[in-house]
Amino acid sequence: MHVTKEFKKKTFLKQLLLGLHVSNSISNPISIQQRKNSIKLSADLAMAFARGRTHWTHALITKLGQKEENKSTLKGILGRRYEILMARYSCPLLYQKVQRRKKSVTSYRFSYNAQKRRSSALKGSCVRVSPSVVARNLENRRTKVLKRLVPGGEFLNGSSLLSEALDYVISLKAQVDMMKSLWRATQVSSSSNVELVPSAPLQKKDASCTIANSEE
Amino acid sequence: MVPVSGAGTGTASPFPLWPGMPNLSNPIAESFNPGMLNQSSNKFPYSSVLPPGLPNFPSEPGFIERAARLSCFSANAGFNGLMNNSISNQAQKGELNSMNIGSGSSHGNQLKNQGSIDNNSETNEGAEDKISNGDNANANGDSSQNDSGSKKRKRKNQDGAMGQGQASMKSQEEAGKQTSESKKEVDNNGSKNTGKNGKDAADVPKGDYIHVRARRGQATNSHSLAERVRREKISERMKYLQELVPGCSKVTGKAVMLDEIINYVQSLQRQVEFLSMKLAAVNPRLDLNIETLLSKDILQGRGACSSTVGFTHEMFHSQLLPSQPGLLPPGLPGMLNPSDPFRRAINTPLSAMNPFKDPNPQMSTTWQDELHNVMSMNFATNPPLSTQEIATKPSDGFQL
Repeated sequence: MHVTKEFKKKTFLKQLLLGLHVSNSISNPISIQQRKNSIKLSADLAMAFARGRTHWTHALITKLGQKEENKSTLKGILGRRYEILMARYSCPLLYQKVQRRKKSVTSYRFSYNAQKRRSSALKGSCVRVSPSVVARNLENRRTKVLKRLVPGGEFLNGSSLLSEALDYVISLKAQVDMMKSLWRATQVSSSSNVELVPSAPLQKKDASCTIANSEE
Repeated sequence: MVPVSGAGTGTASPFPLWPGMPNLSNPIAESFNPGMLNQSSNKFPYSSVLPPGLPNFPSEPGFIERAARLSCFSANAGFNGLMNNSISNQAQKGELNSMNIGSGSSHGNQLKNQGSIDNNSETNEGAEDKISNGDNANANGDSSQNDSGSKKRKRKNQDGAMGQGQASMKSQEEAGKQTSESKKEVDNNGSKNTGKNGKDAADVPKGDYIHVRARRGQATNSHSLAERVRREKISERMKYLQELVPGCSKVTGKAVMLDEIINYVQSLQRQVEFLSMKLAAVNPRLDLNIETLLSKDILQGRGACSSTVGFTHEMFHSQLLPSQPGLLPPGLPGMLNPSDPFRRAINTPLSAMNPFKDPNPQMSTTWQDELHNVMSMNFATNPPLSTQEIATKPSDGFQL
């Protein structure tokens, strides 16, 4: 448990900084929106790399690679690995399947609503929808929303969807925390000059970690 | 109108009872229980117990551990430790098989949602348990009507109007979990909670993921077994998610939990967008210096601490070794001197693995302190899923 988090931090930070560097260097005059997009792209990519091999990371990278506007940034970040990665993560067929599935889902819902309307018209009173149906409807709707949120979730069901969502939530939280602290670091550095050598606080830190220091 | 559970059981016991037929598989399972559970390899004795029609579940070693973790949520890092714990738990709880329903009903009492209706549901459980002990659930057609557990029967009786066909069984099971939320009726609340708590107490007798044992008084139909396994998997994931999502410890039921999860994911994604906007607004020139320093420190810290911390993921080492030398402009030798104590500061928390919940605010005076906090941040909630994935994929990492 600790091990994954350690990995995630270092890899994530490294990847994110690389992405930031690239996005800062390629395009100076472009708008903030585009810079924000490229930063978000690099952050997502960093998160996916830091997590390793899971379903949602693959799906995320595929999605990121398919958008046209991301390609230049991705090329800058990944360098020579870009072609390898994109060859591995390009599956346009997947998304066609998703489109087809969405149509069937909406048609099912339409027919269900039509049935309800018909039954209510016949009975003339409020529809006696049994609670299980209501509950199932609620749960299905929310599952669909979750499927849309989690990358690659459209193809998962039930417990696997939940486990992927769990993993994704953990990584998202880690990503948010890392970006927050990175931003705080930039804020602090902008307020003070970078060439400061803060000897006093570091000594305080070393004093608190004497045991580990003696190992080295 | 859907009948109240108390009234429902009296009138609607729709499935035919088989008092004459002996319970073939369950007594055998009972007798095997104490002896076989002490073995570490649980697979062979169970396979003779199950009816031949049981499909083989796809074997995933991760699920063995997950099933083992159903009983204990301790944050042990050791895989072996957890397996031993689960086996010992099963050995203890195997003898409590007959008392599981009782404990489930006592849980229901503790909930104190309502007075008389809980008693009704308990007596329902008790009566149906006695009846089901004489049942034979092997025949497929009968088992679909027979229902695989007292809890299922209870939910069935509440729904009342639903038929007993196999097709409707699944919907009933799902509905049984969420009826309390959707209907907000007192009786559904009580029985659903008892059902869930009973399930928590009684879900250990299942061995590992692949071979599912039919619990006492439940159908041994392959469909219902698979259904129960699936439901328990889902409930286990929901429990983990409950621990993870803040403010969800008191929420029960799938629908509301899903709602909370969706809200949380959306809020996290919005936070990422917001933070990336903030980072985009930072002056790029200033950012560059920090980046180069950070990358240099990280790479140095990585090389030094890989020996101190026993990581087994070689992939990450190899991933980092082709560092980006292009990042490091040649004109920064003077800046690297303060990085040595900083590097030591990075390595110490990593080797000590102290979990900090939040970065100490007094320490974040300088940017080096901030980076130190970044590296030493550990996340409090570490669900066992990550360890399980590490255990199953030892050389994990992004293969580039």
